[in-house]
Amino acid sequence: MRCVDRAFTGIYRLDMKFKDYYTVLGVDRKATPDDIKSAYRRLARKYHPDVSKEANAEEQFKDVQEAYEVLKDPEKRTAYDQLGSNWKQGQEFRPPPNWGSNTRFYSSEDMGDFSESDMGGFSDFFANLFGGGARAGGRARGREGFGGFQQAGRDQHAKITITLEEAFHGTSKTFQLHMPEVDAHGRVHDNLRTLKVNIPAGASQGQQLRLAKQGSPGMHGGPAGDLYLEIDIAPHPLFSLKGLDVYLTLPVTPWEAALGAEIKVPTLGGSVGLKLAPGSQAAQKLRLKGRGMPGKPHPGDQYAILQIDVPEPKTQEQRQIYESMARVMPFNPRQHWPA
Amino acid sequence: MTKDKGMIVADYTEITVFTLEEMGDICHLSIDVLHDFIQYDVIHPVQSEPQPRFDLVQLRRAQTALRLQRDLEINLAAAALVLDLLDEIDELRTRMALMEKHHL
Repeated sequence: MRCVDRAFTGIYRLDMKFKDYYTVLGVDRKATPDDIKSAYRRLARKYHPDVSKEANAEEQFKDVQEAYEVLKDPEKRTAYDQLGSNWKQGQEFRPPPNWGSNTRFYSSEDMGDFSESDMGGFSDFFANLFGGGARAGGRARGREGFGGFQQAGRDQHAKITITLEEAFHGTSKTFQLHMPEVDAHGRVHDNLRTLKVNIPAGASQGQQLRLAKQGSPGMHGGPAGDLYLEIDIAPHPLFSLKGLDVYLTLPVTPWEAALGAEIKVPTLGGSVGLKLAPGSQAAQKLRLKGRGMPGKPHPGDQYAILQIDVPEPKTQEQRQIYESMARVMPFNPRQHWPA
Repeated sequence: MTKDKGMIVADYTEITVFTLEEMGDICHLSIDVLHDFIQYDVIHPVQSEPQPRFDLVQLRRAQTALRLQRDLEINLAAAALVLDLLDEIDELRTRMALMEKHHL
C-alpha cells in the first residue's frame, strides 16, 4: 500500500459528524478481522441497493461500505481507534490538532475500485480523516489510462417522474436535479442542474437514458462520469399499466350486466363507446384493442375489468324489487358446494 | 451551496446502441470479460448484423452484474441468475399491484 505523507492543510466542514464505524457494522471495538468481514458480508447482502427493499438501502449501504473500508485495513483501523471510544455516532466532530503531522494519510489510489466507491461516495468525516486526494506536486500514480493522479467522476443516477398521460402522448419537460458533486478537496457540494427531457409517445416504466459525461466532474483533470436517467410513471387514479397494456376497473349495475348496455369508457386517448353484452359477469376482462400504450410492433390494449356494484335497497319499493327478483329468478350461485 | 451549472438536454427519442468496444469502455471491462458475460447470459446482443450491438437494458445488466460480483462476492453464473430473478420479481410486483388495485 502506498501512502503519501502530508501536513494537514485542509479546512474542515463545520457540520462534520462523527461516524462510529463499529456501531455501523454492529461489532465490538475488539472485533477480529474475521468478525468484521462477516458483519460486512451480512450487511452488504441486506442493504445492497440492487437487491434490497429496505428503506434508504443506498445510504445504509454507503455507511456499511465506508465502515468496512476503514475497519478492514489494519493501518486505517489503528488510526481511527486513536480517536478514542468517547465519541458518539452523529456527534459534532473535530479531529485532534496533531492529526495531520503525526498520521499518515492515504492517497486516493489506496481506496480500491473507483468506479462506484471512490472518494465522492464517502462522508465528510472519512474524507477529512483519510484523504482528500493527493497533494499537488506529490508523486502519485493514477488509474490506468489517466495521467497523474486524475480520478474519474462518479456516475449519477436520477429518476424523473411523469404522468401516465405524459408517457402516452409524449412530453417535453424541464426538471431540476439536485446532484451531489465532489470538489477538488473531496468535499461534497449540492449542485442544482436543469434538465430538459424529450420523451416520445409510449415511454415505458423504468426506461433509461444515458447522458455521457454529464455526471460528476472528474478530479484533477479526470473524465466526468455519466448521467443515467430513469423514467418513473406516477400511479394513476384510474389506470394501471402492465407492459403496453392498460387496465381499468369498470363498475356497472346488476341490470347493465344482465341486460347489456352501451357505456362510455375513458382511455388515455379519449372516451370510447363500449358495448356490454347481456349476461356479463363480474371480473370479466373486456378488451379494447389498440387502446393501450403506443409501441412496436403494435400498440397495447386496454382491458376494462368488470365490477358489479349492488345498490343497497333504501325504500320498501326497492326491497320489493329485489324480493320479486328472488322469486322470479331462482338462482343458486353456490350449487357446486358440497351438500 | 447550490449553483446552476447549465442546462442538460436529454432526448429519449434517440435510440442508443453500443458496440462491444463501447460497452467495454463504459463498464471498464476488457472484450474477453464481456465475452464471458455473453457466455453466461449476463448480456446478449439486441442486434447481430453487421456486428453485435447492445442497448441500455444490456448495459444496465452488465453494470449490475459487476456491482453484485464486487459487493456480494458472487460469480458470473450467480450474477446472471440474480438478474433474471430480479426481472421476474419486478414483473410479479407489477402484476400484484394490478390485481390488488382492480380486485382480481
